[in-house]
Amino acid sequence: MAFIELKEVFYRYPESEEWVLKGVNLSVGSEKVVITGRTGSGKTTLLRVMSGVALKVYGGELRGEVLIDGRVAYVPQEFDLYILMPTPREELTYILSAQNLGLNDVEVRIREISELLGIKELLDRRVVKLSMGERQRVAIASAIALNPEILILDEPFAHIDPKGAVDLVRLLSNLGVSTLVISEHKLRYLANIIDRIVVLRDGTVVYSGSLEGAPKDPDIEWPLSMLRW
Amino acid sequence: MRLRVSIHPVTGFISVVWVLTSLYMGYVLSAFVLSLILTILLVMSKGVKEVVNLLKLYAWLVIPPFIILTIMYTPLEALDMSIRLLTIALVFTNVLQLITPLELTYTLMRLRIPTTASLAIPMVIRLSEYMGYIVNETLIALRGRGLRRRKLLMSLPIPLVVHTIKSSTQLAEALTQKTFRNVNLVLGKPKVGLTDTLIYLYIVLMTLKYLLII
Amino acid sequence: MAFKYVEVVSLAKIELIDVWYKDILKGINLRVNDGIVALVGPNGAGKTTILKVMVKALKPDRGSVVAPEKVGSSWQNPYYSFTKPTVLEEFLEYLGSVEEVEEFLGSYGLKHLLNRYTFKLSVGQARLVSILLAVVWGPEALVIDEPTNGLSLRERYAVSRLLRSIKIPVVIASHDLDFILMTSDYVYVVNDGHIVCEGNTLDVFYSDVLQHIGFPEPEVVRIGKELGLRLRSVDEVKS
Repeated sequence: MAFIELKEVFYRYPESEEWVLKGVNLSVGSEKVVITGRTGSGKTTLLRVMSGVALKVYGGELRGEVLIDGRVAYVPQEFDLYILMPTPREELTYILSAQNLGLNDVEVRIREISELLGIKELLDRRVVKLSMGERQRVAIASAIALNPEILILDEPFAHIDPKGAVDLVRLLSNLGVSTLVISEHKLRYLANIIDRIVVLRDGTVVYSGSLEGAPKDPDIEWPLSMLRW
Repeated sequence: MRLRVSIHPVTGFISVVWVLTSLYMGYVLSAFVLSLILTILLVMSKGVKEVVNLLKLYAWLVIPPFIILTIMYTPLEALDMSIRLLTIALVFTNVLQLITPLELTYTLMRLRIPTTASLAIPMVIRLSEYMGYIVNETLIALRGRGLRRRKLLMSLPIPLVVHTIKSSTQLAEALTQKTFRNVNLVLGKPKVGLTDTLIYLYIVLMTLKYLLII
Repeated sequence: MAFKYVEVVSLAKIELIDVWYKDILKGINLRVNDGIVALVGPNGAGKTTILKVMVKALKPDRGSVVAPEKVGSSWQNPYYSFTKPTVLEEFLEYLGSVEEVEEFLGSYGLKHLLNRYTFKLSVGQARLVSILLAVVWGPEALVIDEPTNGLSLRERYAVSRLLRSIKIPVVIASHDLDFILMTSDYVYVVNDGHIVCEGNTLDVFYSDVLQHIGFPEPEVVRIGKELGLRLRSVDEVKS
């Protein structure tokens, strides 16, 4: 069973005096978790630490314990350059090729993933010519191709339209990834699929539990049906 | 209707070598014809509009030398030089555009070139397309605040540099997750097709013609 | 009886007449006179392409475009508009003195952004500054692509307020239905390269056009319907 555990984690970026994460205690198992908080609360930094990318790419200083058990795929909020190859097919081929699959298996897997994400017609188009919604689906397909046990998405609903959001929610519930971590402040679409919500404020976890019981910070977009009249 | 036309990387390589050799030996016209054949294949694959834009670019490459050479020498010699120039330009770019990156990568890996170097090729293509996209978007944004001509060009570097730096962290995040030790590239094995046969046929016929004349 | 031949001259500031572009736009007709006009539709419907045609960044394959010489614009990534380290320096180019810049920003309630670093602004603040940059050089119209992408609720209110205080006609492309509802007077619904419907914002939102193109009903409209109320625009109330 894959999990990520953070114990008393402090993190700051290089050349910065301020700690962005100030004593985060969090453990995530086989569940769908949404991490929310207002802008500047440290959501993106938390995701970077949880995926192991923070120290490798940004450096900085990390205190406390971070335990990552399982294969992690992390799709950042700016996902343009998450896709490394000129066409989606080449991208999927590249990633699947590294998993020692035979020719047939790779082709089958490409078909499966592109059907799941609805990108079958886009496979041979240039990524740079795709619309943003299409690129996002390709980015998520690319992450799925890594065969992760833990999928981490940073604000996937930030740029998509309401129709795309509905499709994305359906997709996320059918993905078959055991652990899903999403950072979002637009919660109205996610209400029905998540198991737990974690509220981050000023670098620490102030709440972890069900959606109903969470403190209703006005800067976060709660589903309107959830607000008391 | 666009057909997916592509040539085997080895065919591309042989075409380039043959064209350069023919030019060196003085058989300008047949070399030029091969580069025209490749141009027609490119039109079939990418459509007329894109290729016409490319040709406009080449006009800039070829016409000024033609004018200068006509003044310095004779029109015939100038024409000869211009056609040589055009042939070289056409054959290189057409071959590069008719080979798919994945097949090129596969071929290089078969030639025992290290994985990182081979995979760098499609990645560089992706990056350059992305940079082109950023330049375009930045230009449109800067025009939206009234910058034109000289001011526009002078203001371009700063946002581009800033965005390149931001892009580099994005790229680093992706690469930490997607660098692998053994990439066993199973897909991307190039197939020899009709277009390759056509090109080889032409090359063989022309070469025989030279040899018989000799 | 004498007949006079009267030629009807289009008074529209921006007009697209039967515009086709590749496989993206398929016969677009629209006019913008004044106020705030929104293009609403899903991603990939052609909204951004329509805006690019309006600012003459793209040439239509068929049809014609009427637009003024000077059209300001702010696009999907607001940071692309920045060329100087601080907000002050950005506007100094156009306004000449620090006091004038202060006054300009102050008139939109944004004086607090005067000495901030442009590339370090939050997305919402960057959007506000980008819109002001699109306006400060005196264009006759303004075009904005997805102004609320990535913005928090509060920042969206700020952008809406800013846009409503701008005097020139504004065209917004957006899929943010609640934002459109509080900001724009007139709406064109765009789907798959066509204009599917147009009209007063409230009328369009109360019809089921949006559901037909796959959008869920805006929450405010849904609640209004559940409560048996019909939202009225400010003009309706005044008249």
